[in-house]
Amino acid sequence: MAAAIEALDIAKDRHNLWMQLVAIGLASSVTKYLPEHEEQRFDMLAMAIQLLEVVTRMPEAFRPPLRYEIALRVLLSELLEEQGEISKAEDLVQQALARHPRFGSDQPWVIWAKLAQYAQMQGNNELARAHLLQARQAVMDIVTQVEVESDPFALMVDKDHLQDVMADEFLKAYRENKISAADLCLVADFQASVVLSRHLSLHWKPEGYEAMLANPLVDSGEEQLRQFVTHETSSDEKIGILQAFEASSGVYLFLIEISPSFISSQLLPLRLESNAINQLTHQTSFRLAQYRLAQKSDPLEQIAGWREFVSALRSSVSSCISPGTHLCIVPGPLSGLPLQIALGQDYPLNYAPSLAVAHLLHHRRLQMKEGPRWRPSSVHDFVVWRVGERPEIIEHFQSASVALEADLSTLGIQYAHTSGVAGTREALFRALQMSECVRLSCHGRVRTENLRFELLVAADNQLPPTDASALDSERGQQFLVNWQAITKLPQCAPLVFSTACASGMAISLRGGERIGLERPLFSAGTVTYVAPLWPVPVAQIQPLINRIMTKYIRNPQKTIADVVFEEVNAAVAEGVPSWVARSVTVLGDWL
Amino acid sequence: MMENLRSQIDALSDSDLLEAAGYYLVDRVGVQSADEVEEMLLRYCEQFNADSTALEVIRNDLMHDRDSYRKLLLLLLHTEIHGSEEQRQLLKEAIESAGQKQVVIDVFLVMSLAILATVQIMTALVLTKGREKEVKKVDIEKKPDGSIHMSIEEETTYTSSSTALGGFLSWLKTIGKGPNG
Repeated sequence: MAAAIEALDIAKDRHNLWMQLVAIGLASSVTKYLPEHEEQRFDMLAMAIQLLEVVTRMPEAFRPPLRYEIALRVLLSELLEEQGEISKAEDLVQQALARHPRFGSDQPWVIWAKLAQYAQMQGNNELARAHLLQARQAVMDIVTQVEVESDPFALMVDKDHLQDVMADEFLKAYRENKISAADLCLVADFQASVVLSRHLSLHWKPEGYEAMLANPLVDSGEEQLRQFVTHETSSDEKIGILQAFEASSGVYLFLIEISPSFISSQLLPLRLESNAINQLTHQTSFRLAQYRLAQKSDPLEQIAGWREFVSALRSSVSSCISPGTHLCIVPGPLSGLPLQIALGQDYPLNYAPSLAVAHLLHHRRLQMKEGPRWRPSSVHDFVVWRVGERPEIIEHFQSASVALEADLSTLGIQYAHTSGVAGTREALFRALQMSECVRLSCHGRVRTENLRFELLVAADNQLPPTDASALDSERGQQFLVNWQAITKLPQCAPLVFSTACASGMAISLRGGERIGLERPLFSAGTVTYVAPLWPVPVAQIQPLINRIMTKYIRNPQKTIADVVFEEVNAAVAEGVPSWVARSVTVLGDWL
Repeated sequence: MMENLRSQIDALSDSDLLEAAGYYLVDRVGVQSADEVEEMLLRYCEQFNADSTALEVIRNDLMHDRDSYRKLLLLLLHTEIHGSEEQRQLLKEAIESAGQKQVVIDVFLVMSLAILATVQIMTALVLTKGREKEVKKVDIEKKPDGSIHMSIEEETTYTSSSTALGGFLSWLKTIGKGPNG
């Protein structure tokens, strides 16, 4: 109440109209939680509305910043809502729209979301959806102004509500046959990696995609989906898309099968609540990271709910998409779950942060020389271990490099090698920018508590330290390359393989944004990144990645997803533990 | 096997010791996720009316004091050598698995697990006071005159110093006595 009184004192200062408005808004907001002061609150509300009308008549130069006006209008409209004055509340918000048809503010999405809410309250769902799409577009416009290396979590956190409302509203419309599957796909995509999607779309500007973002509810949606298969030589070629998204009623799987001649889709509930999925994600990632090599059992079999999840996922996917069909997974709320363990045996697959990113990377891949048949003419092998690494592990690194060089020489591929203390930050950046393909064998680490992802490199003629606290010291910083630094590279190898156990790991954030290595690589120009998604033994992962690289380069008619599918299944058949072999995943484009 | 394990543990580098302890303690403590580790620590603090902020400080100090965390982990792993055959097998697997993956060990997690394992051992000690087995033998005899004679015989078996708990108990007894005891 003290704050409210102080705010009222400020409001009495008649010389500063704008301060009055803000103070009244504040006082009104504070008294909201003090029912005994309801009368003052209504008075303040009325006064604020009058003042707001004065403000609207003021010359442009004297008007307060638009975002303050919007914030105040929304606050006042909410207070009117509480009094049941819905149409007055709507008028208040509409006035903002009438005065500013083209918002330059950083918060216009709030206005559209409010208008959608009022339309919904009045039973006009179509208008509500139109307003929600405007809100979505406004969010995309905000994202445009944000650097891709900035913190996506902080940026998206207050948009969560909009993502949730859109999912519910469009899901309902889809079930009532008012919108198409492609429309719902795009709305679901709004839950997935908005910052990265927008950044890539602006960076590469593929024709048609901008139009689709601007107005997803047009027929071109299906056409965009169809573009995923237009590269195929065989007319009966199909691909499947699995897109997971979250609504208030639970998590749904959107399953789409696309061929040049047809698109079929099905929406299936996963029958698991978000909390259960979060718990499963935490438990599976922890178990896989902590699994001892000597253990022979399935690391995930003891996790409550995992078997049921796998069974539900397999039966849902196989009911819509035939085994053997290429499957592009946009994991959304399932991000962080080892879906390849459940599906990798039957489907060649790739992960994409969003449909938009999948589309953009695919477009970029098809533009490369020789299109789908493009193969790198050079490979840079970047290998860094740590001080005190066991001799047998260093031996594994070195023998894997020798084997790769020998294999590539038979294929006429140029091979360059950087290892040990030569593997500095500068050398890493040079390798990523100058080569067509890079194989990374260096430690990486993910720190969930402060959203950090880093690669460990050599510096000052020294290998990186083993001790985590030494890495965290001021001197230790020179051995770390953070994801933001990679994002800023002007160009990057289209194809990157990693044998480093933690390099495929990432922190999954709300809104589908992931902090890991894939995000900066895609931002800098990589099209496909192949990496193990959890820590696995060096002795087994090095030869497996080499086999995949060599086979892919040798067979231009095969996609990378097919090669990974074949080699991983072959490795499992040869006795490599399934949890080790299936860690290898294609991130980005699958060609 | 016990001596062999002991020398294997002592020979572990800091990084391998952290990794092996992490593998072993996850099973020893019985946790399924990193969140669960934190929840358990908070629950213990509540149960024992302990200051969770003080625990945070201890954990942070441990993380940055190589000598201390090495001693604590060695102590915990050595204690487990006296456990069951199954425990020894788990320990052996954990030691052999260390250093095979290309990971940077999460010292924070391992320290949390080490604290939890210590608390669990201490709790078991407080609850049992070192007793491993208590047997009450009740003998009821009906006398010819119709009276009933009842005798109760109690037998308490204390934790042997050759068990995991006993090893830890022996160590606790040495606290404050110094090396010459």
